[in-house]
Amino acid sequence: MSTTKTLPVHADDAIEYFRSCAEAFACLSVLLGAIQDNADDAAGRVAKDALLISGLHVADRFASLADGWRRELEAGGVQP
Amino acid sequence: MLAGPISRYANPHGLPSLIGVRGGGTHNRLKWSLTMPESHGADVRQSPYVSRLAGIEPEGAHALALAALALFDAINAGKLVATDTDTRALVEALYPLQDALHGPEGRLPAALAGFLSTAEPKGAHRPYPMRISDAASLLKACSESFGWLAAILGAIGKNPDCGGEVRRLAGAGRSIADDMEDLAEGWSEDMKTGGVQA
Repeated sequence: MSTTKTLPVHADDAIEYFRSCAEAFACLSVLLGAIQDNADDAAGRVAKDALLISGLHVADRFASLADGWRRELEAGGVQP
Repeated sequence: MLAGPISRYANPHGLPSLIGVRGGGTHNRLKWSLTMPESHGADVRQSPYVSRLAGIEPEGAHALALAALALFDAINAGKLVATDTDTRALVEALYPLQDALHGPEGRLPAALAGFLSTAEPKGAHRPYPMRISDAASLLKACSESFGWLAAILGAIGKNPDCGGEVRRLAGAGRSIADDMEDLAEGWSEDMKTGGVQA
């Protein structure tokens, strides 16, 4: 029976987790802003699908990443 | 609802407050660097009052605004007497803020930053060490917000129309993304400055 112990997260890494989330939110804001600003014109309609795919990729990826980081923190704690 | 010290960091109902974050002109976000935060010198987001407000439900924020209006009236009528220099400076700093509230658009962020810098003596903003459980809850808030944004993007994708509804959905998502960006950046700074404790 294996007893895998989760290693503590380094404090600098934990800081980076939040910074990465902030940058991902910024990306999503730009994507959503482009959709919002170009919702009425033909070029915007063409670009919408590509923006949506990119946005969904970022949002889904980071939803999973942030939850994984949360589990790491809860399981291993933080090493200063 | 989250309780205890987490309220310092997170909005208990999950939707970050619009107060204290960067103003959102239609194209502002596109001009911002994705890695370098905007800096005005006085950063409203850094204020501990912003975190405290984020922990108050909208109904409470409304009550606070009403109480502030009543206090403004009392101050403007000269009914409040400041007994020390700091309080006098605080009352004085309210006047430009009130002018900005009722004046031309665009002056409010600077006026609010100026007022908050008066309200917080130098060195007042020293973040406490962030508890690991708080950090975990904040990452959960990030994860949930990403999930909401994915749902909004999905709803936009399913909408065959490209007009008003898409614009509104995108605007709502953008507002969440902007606020969460500011909050996550703030949490990162808090953790960097205050450290982490078990």
